[in-house]
Amino acid sequence: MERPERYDPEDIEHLLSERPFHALLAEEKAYVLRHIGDAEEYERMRALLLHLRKDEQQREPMVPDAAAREQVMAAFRAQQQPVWRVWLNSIAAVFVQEHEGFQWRPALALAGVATVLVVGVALVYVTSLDRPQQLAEVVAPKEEPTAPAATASSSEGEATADANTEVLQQPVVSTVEQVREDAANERVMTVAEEAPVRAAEPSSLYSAEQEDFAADDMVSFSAAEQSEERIVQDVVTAVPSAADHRVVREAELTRNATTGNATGTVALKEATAKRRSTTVFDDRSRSVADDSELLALLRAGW
Amino acid sequence: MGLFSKDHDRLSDERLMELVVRGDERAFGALYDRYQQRLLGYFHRMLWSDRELARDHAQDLWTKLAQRPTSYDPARPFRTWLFSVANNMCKNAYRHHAVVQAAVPELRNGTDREDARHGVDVDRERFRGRLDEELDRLDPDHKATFVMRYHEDMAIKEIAAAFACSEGTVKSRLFYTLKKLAERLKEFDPNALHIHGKA
Repeated sequence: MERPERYDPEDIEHLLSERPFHALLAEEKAYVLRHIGDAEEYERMRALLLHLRKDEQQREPMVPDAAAREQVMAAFRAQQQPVWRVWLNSIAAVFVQEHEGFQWRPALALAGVATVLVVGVALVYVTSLDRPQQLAEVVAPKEEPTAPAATASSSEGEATADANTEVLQQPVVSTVEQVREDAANERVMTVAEEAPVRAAEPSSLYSAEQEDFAADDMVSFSAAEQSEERIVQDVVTAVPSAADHRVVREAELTRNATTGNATGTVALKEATAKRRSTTVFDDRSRSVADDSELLALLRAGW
Repeated sequence: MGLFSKDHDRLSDERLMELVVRGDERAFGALYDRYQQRLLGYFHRMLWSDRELARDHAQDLWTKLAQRPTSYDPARPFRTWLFSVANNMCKNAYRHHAVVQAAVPELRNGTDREDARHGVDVDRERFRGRLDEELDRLDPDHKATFVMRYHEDMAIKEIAAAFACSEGTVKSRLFYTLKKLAERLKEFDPNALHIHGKA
């Protein structure tokens, strides 16, 4: 079995520095001679090694240059100074020219920058004029048709359903005009709530009193006549003709209160429904005041 | 010295580099003073004993360090890092020199070898001249290892770190370089030179 080396091959330097060849142990000599030819070569190497070390100490070192140090420190300072200072320095170098003959250069540069700024501001101003100044626009609602639908119960139900459906589809827009319109509708409704009752009274009274005229005395007749006169007058004054006025019902008011009327769509549908139900309307709204023959008979004291 | 001032001369190289990265000018100056002379000697030995070339390279190295102190790797000892950078610069100089020599063969290496201008023994100067010439003929890595070891007195471990190799490789390079130089310079008697120099 091969005996492991006690020394690494590189450790000859240590032996060279420490001892001459004759002072080495037998084991060390054997090891050295495996890497070095003979004792003479060992001594030559040793002498060179020792000489190198001593000679290096005797060598005159190179003296660093003070100017070189200053340059290096200046480079370090230049690297460490803030960036804005460098930027300002470069700006100053641009504006303060070394030769007076080149002063037109910064002047030209400044004039160019000023021109660009003026043109830019003008462009921004002009383009801002074309653009709307507001984020949203309030659109005035269209004029509603002035002939609202009077009451047609059968067709009105359909129209209401259609209107309600449309109300859900219409955008919600609230305007001052609509608020005013709602207030006016409210006033009309107050009158209209009593008007159908009053309009219905004469016909019912007439039919009831008509049978009594023949049997009752004149006193009762005249009283009834006076009462009839008053009612007729009230009806005439209270219920306007259908051509000039209309009666606003609660359902219509509800529709008016919605925003669907802003576009006039609901009103248009109601107008259509009103035309379809004209006959029914005339029959239902027939009153004593409208019947000229009956009025003439009443006035004649019949 | 103020209460919070630092005694830069007592700080380690690595600590000084930390301060340099933070912009401490005095730390940079301390490092410069600590290593400039050694770097000059290293470049002088490595670059054909050309003093001006050595000054230029040393200046270049410090300027690079001043401009990019963050290029230093804090994981490595500053000394080995510095000499590895210097060694790389020398390799670049060798490549440049090879190109120039190929173009103009008559150009010679550095010519400012120390002559006997200060009354130093002529034989010793001749020996030094021959030694430098033989060093220049060596492989760059072997030459750098030799210079670091015997001129800069660096430890085997430091040299290994600078070259990023094992300590065994460094020892092997040193042994074979020494053996080769002893063979080539056998006409000189180092012992006689040393004794004569002392006298």
